[in-house]
Amino acid sequence: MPYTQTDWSTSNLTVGNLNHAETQYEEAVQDAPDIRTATDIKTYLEVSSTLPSYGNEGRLIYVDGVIYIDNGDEWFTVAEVA
Amino acid sequence: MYTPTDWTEQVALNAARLNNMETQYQSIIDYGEALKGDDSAKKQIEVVTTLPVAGNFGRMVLLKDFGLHYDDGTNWRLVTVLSGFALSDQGVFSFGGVTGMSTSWSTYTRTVTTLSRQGLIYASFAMAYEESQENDRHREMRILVNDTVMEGSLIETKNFMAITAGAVRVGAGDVVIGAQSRALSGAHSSSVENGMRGVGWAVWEEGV
Repeated sequence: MPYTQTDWSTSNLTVGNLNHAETQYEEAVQDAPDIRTATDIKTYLEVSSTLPSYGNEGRLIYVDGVIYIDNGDEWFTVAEVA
Repeated sequence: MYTPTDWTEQVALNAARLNNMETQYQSIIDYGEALKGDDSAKKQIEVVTTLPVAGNFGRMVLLKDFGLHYDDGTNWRLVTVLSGFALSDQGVFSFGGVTGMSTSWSTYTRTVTTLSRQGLIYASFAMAYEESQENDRHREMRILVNDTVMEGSLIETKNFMAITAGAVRVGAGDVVIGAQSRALSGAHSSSVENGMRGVGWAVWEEGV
């Protein structure tokens, strides 16, 4: 769940508040994977001026008006969009 | 981007530095979202060997060795086949007359081709015959590819039956088409004669 920040200008320096600050890393680790599946966060394809070497199965890329996908052995055209 | 404070005995503990410490969580989340929107970063979608349950609108997966799919919220839709299938062979063959028809499956098989890589098979099976009784529409037929029954659409009239079947994926090796027919009851077993049966097929092989 999102981390709730402590406002130290109005909060006391207590063990509880300091330990709360120490939870941020763990909270971020738990929440970050949700970014992958969030449909309200923009997702950009990789954009390149040239088609790189294949060999990364599942890699999507946009090159000069064409979307390609790498099946691990070669690039395949998904769609021409320009 | 989070800038950590280098705490030493000489660095004053104040609200500003403590508040900066409080931004670590949001900095990490912002970084993750930026990665998703970074068009200079390499991105690979999920690769699966079988399609998972649909229901996540917008999800895209690469079905290994086959094609790119997206989830429309209810079903998986094939975007494009990545295997480069191309028509590699086709043919027709006919076999045996039909006189009488058992309620057991009458099976005729033929090895039509041998694939060096995986392929897609389409086949149809038709049978014409003389029907001596009026008790038509009581027969059944189907097509098997490598012993797997193909989904098909059956057409039956008094003197003719045909079934068309969709594409079926097969692995490398022999492709054996089986054509089967039968009567659905003993009362309709002996009223067929002078029949002819034929099969048409085509195969698309990967990467040719």
